[in-house]
Order: sequence, then C-alpha cells, then structure tokens
Amino acid sequence: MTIAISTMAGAIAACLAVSLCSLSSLFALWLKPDTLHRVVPYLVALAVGVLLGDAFIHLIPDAIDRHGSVSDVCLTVLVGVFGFFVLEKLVRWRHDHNVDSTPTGGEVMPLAKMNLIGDAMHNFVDGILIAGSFLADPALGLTTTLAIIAHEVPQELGDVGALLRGGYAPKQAVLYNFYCSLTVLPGAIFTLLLSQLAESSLSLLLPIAAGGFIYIAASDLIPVLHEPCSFSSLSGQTAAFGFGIVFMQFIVFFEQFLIAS
Amino acid sequence: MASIDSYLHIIGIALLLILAIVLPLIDRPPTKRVLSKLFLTVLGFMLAHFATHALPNKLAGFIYSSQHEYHSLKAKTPHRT
Repeated sequence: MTIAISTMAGAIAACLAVSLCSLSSLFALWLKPDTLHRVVPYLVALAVGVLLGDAFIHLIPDAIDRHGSVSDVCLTVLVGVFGFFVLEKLVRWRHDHNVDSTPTGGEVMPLAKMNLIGDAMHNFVDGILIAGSFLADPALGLTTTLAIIAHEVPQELGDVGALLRGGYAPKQAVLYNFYCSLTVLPGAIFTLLLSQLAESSLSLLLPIAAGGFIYIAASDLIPVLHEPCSFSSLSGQTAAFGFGIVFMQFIVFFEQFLIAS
Repeated sequence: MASIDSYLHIIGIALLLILAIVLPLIDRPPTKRVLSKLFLTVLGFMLAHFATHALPNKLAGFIYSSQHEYHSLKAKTPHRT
C-alpha cells in the first residue's frame, strides 16, 4: 500500500502540534515555590479526574467499539491494572525501598515514574489514532487532532502536578512530561508503516492504557489527596476532581460535534 | 485537504516553537549545542523556503493576479473570470 506524502506530512504535523501542547505545563516554572506547593494538590486532583475520565469515558468505550466484546475489553483493562501493579512492585524493589508517600531529599517516588510510563503509552496510542484517522481522511485527521489536543492540555497540567508531587523538580517535570509526549511520533510512524497491524493493536493498547490510568489514579494519586485534611482542600480538590471528569465528558460532546459538522 | 506546503510549514513552525521552549530548560551543554544547531537548521530551511518560494509566489500572485495565463499555469483547471 502506498501512502501519499501529504498524508504522512499531515500526520507528523498533527503529532508535533500535540507534543507542543504538552509544553502548556510550562506555567509551573513561573510560579513561586510556595504557590506551586499550594497548587500541586489541586493539580493532582485534576489529574485523577482527567485520568479516570479518560479511561472510563474515552479509552474503554473506544476499545469496546473496536473490539465488540465487553468482557474481553474488561479483561484486558484488568491485565493493564495487573501489569502496572507488577511494574510498580518492580520499580519499588529495584530503585526504591522507601514506601513512604512523601518524597525525601531529591528522591523520586514510583508514582512519578509510573505516571511517565502511562503517559508515554497513552501518547503512543494517540499517535496511532492520529495517523489512522489521517490515513482514512485528512479532514477526520484534523478533527481527531483537535479532540486529542483538547484533552491533552488538562491532562498534561495534571501529569505535571503528579510528577511534582512524585519528587521531580519543576524543570525536570516539564521536560520529562514533554519527552513522554514525543511518543506520539513513533505511534504515528508505526501506523503509517504498518497500518493494519497498528489498527488491530489498538484493541489491545487502548484497554491496557486505560488499566494503567485507573491503577495510577486509584492507587497512587488518590491516597496522596487524603493527606491534607482541611475544608479548603476538601472543597478545592473535589472541585478539581469533578472538573477533570466534566471536561473529559465535554470532549466527547466536542468530538461528536466535530464529526457531525 | 491542506497542501503539503501547509503541512511542512506547520512542521517547521512547531519544531521551532518546541526547540525555542525546550532549549532554556536543558542544562547539559552538549545537548544544548545539538539542539541549538537543529534550531538554526530548521530556521534556515524556513527562511530559505520563504525567500525562494513563498515570497516570489506571493509577489507573482500580486502582480499577475489579473492575467488569465498566470492562473492557467497555476491551476490545472482553467480559471474563469
């Protein structure tokens, strides 16, 4: 199968635009350390809402649409949760013997590394989706890119909050988050070269990425939110968590509007 | 469908923006040097493209836009006024 050069250029341009959006988290560098320290729990709450919203509102329904069998998709999500659990155990066993939930003296907590792995995988899947839609139709490619950019911005903000909470310095958090966003390019190139294989791999990659997000949000990030127990943290974090979910639902309406128009 | 030129412009601008943002965040001098060279290369390509293609095309369009022959050269289908 020959692919038009304009299709390849379009997919790569879209991927670079998505990677550029991941640098929206740059605002963390302009905040004063005290302000950043106060903002991070709310960003973590936003990350929880966005990750769970992405998993339950986007990835799992999309995987069911592609695969058809709900039980198979649910089983693959569980495989994803299990895989990320084993991965975290390995990370803790290999690098981190301290299971305390507070980073000490430049130490990076496993939750930060897990978040990077999950984000890289998610961006790889985004690359497959972008290139797949450009192969089908450039107009569909544009709408898919817009939808991905729309959910990427709040997710990157939340991810940087999780990385900061995990012990990374602000500059490192922004850079590592950006490096992970670059996996969108290999995802797109993989699809452009092996479109059929990439299309069939989506039914496996989507639920595994969803499982990873559910695991990170539920086991690593939500316990962190319970640490400061004041009324302001309760109301602020609840609002940020809810906003993350509502925003992801809004993206579904936005996608439907783009497809309809 | 956008033309390949538009896509290449987006790729070039996105690369320039990414490099301009990432460069100040990197502390290692060798990496910084490589990325600076990449930034200059992309910028050079963009400027060369602008000077040799985009600007002459705009000028030609401005000067000859009322000429039927110019449009018939540009488009495969004849231009009807």
